[in-house]
Amino acid sequence: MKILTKENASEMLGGKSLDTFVGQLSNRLRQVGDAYSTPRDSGAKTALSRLFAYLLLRKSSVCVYVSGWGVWGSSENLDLFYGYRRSLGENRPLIDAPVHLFERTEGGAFISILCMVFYFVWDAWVFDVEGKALVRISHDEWLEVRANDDEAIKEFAAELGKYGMPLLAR
Amino acid sequence: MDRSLRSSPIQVARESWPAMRILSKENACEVLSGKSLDAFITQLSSQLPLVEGTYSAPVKSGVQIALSKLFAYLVLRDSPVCLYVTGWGVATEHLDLFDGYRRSVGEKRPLIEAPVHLFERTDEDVFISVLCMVFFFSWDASVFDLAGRSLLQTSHDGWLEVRTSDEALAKDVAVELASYRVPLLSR
Repeated sequence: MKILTKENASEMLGGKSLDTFVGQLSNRLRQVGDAYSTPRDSGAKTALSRLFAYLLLRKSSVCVYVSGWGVWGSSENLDLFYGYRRSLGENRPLIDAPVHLFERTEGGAFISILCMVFYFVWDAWVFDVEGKALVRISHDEWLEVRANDDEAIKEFAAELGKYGMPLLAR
Repeated sequence: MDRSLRSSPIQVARESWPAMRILSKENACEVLSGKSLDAFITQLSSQLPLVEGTYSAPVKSGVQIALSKLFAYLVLRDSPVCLYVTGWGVATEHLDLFDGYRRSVGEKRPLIEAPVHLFERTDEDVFISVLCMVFFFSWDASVFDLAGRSLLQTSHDGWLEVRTSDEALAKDVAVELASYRVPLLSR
């Protein structure tokens, strides 16, 4: 796993700013179902992180961009987050280096970071670097999944359905 | 109690390296003057009065984190505190996070070889992090101070119990658990 500044991530994305990239991706990709309600149960959050590792990481490298934290201060634990990052040699604070880039073989680290995003009710964008799938996670306890083709949309919907993820609109 | 005072600081670098020690069961036995860890806990469990009853362990991550902060505030006082992980692998867990966090404090042994965490009063953040993971992963654990005044036990079966000889602490625990709407199992 590499941990990047927003500027480093922009270079990786061919000079496009990270926020522009995710904004354009969000417009271009088609939404899977509607917004889903994020589970509150920690076990379900762990299981959901594993599901996204399975769905996203098997095809290409994936980014987890933590875009918001500190909203629910009593529900987060920065010591755990920074401790985990320190174990991988990263000492910069989140505000300086909010982007985590995972190779396909780094499922364990991807799940750990995504688990903490869910446990701490943070905002994050998760996307593959080929721009084929995007997950937007909100501190308001919802998430959206977008993908680029019918097959992927069908698979995401089926897996999230199997998992029992409720849609917000229902 | 002002909970904002217990929030973790934003900076990454620790002002001081944690004094927490991670021990094998045999090392823990030495800390307990030769008494086995399991015997010590059994004795505490039979001697200390139960606070209210058996509580249903919270499953929401936000409450689990808040309770970890609460227990740090309540039990990390003048005596060192032990957190002994006794069971794992039953519910949905992610050991990479736990092992990674332990590596950050210099621990490379697996949980089965070194399941005991000994905290000093200054180790509040580390205590909270380890206890959070116990709750996130629905592990079995016993948390107690070496003076033998208090014992918290959590189970993978979804319950937790607090025992203490300190009446003021018992009252605080009952009030705080009620404020987080942690229900008693038997009610």
